[in-house]
Amino acid sequence: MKLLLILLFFISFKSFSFDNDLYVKGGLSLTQAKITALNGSNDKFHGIGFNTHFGYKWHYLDFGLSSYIYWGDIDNLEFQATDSTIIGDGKYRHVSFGPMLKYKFLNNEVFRYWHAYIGLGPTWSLQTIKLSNFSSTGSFTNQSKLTYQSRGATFVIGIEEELSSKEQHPVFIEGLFSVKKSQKVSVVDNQDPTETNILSTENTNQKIIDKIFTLSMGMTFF
Amino acid sequence: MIPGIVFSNSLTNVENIEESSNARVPKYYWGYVDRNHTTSENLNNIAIIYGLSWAAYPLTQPEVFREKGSWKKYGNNFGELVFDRDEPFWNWFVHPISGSQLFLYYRANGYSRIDSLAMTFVSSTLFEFTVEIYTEPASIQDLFQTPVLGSLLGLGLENLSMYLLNSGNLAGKVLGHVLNPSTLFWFYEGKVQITPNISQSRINGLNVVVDF
Repeated sequence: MKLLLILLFFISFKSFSFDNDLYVKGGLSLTQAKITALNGSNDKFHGIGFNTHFGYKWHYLDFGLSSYIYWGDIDNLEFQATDSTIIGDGKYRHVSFGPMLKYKFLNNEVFRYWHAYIGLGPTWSLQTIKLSNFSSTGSFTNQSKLTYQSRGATFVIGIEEELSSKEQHPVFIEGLFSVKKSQKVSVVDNQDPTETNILSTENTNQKIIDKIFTLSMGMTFF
Repeated sequence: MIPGIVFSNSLTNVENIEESSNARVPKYYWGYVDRNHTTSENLNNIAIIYGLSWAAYPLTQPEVFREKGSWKKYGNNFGELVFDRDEPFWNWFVHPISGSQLFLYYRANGYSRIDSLAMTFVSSTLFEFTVEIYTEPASIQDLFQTPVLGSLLGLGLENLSMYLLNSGNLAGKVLGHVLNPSTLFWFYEGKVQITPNISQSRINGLNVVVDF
């Protein structure tokens, strides 16, 4: 009888979560960013968006590829591209990709079935800015849009349900913080949306630092 | 409860169907059957999609293919990987729709959802790195969003099309097939034929035939 109770005790510690399986997750997000651009200007951005993740889950560890997309308005951005210094307002669009390694604290429950996790990974992104109201010292016109590529790192902290199967669609809620620095700036012709015509590209000396905070909620789809 | 299938202990439903001479009696149940595949099957499916992508690309974008494509560009773009500057129409709409139809093709062939995603990844990566480079270098956004956003869209289309196909009405069937064209073809494995076994006065059993 004692042996049976001991066995039951150890069996009850088995995590009843889906392990050793691929997954696809998706969620919606709210984002706030501070963009430090030309001459140390601090520009703020608020936006909404969505995120998708494809990865593999072991027991404590989770490795996947994540993408975050959001869009919104930006005010008073100062920027330098080719021969132009540009100051203006407009629409901002961001898409980022990167691998992420997460560790889940399965020995402690935050709420019933909910466990905390942290994650870290590099990230690469492309930002697109369509200015509607701006001043320019050079040849930049409203027939063009600005794009710049950045790279940096992302840190995430969140909570997620540990359920016995993916089909129950475990939910996650996370806060993500990323810091990125610009690499390349391009001016793209905006006249024909069905064609992509890059007018100029340059490696940028200006430090455009994006500090981004994203709050996201989503679930495992399959 | 699966519409149209009546179990022998649901006698009140049987009586209602018998009394109503205008009731539709569905012949098929539409769904998905997940099974394992051999390496040969996987390679055949990938080869079919690869061949179709070479045919579809110049047909769907003839001007781009003719005016901007060349074998010289193909060589220059081979192995390149860039962030594309396409409008969201292409990256968030066209590519996910393409990905969703790839996903649904593999689902129709009996792959599970996650296996369909994996096969869609392979097919779209092959397209990005060996077909589309005829006109432009491979795109990071397309590599990820075609299979991943595509599979999420495909999941939604799968559920909606199955609901419509099983609705039993003509409009539902037409729309279901439009949203999920893979259900029209011979390779779709999830069609189940329902044959009620009727005795003199009541339905007391079902014959279910599944073709694979």
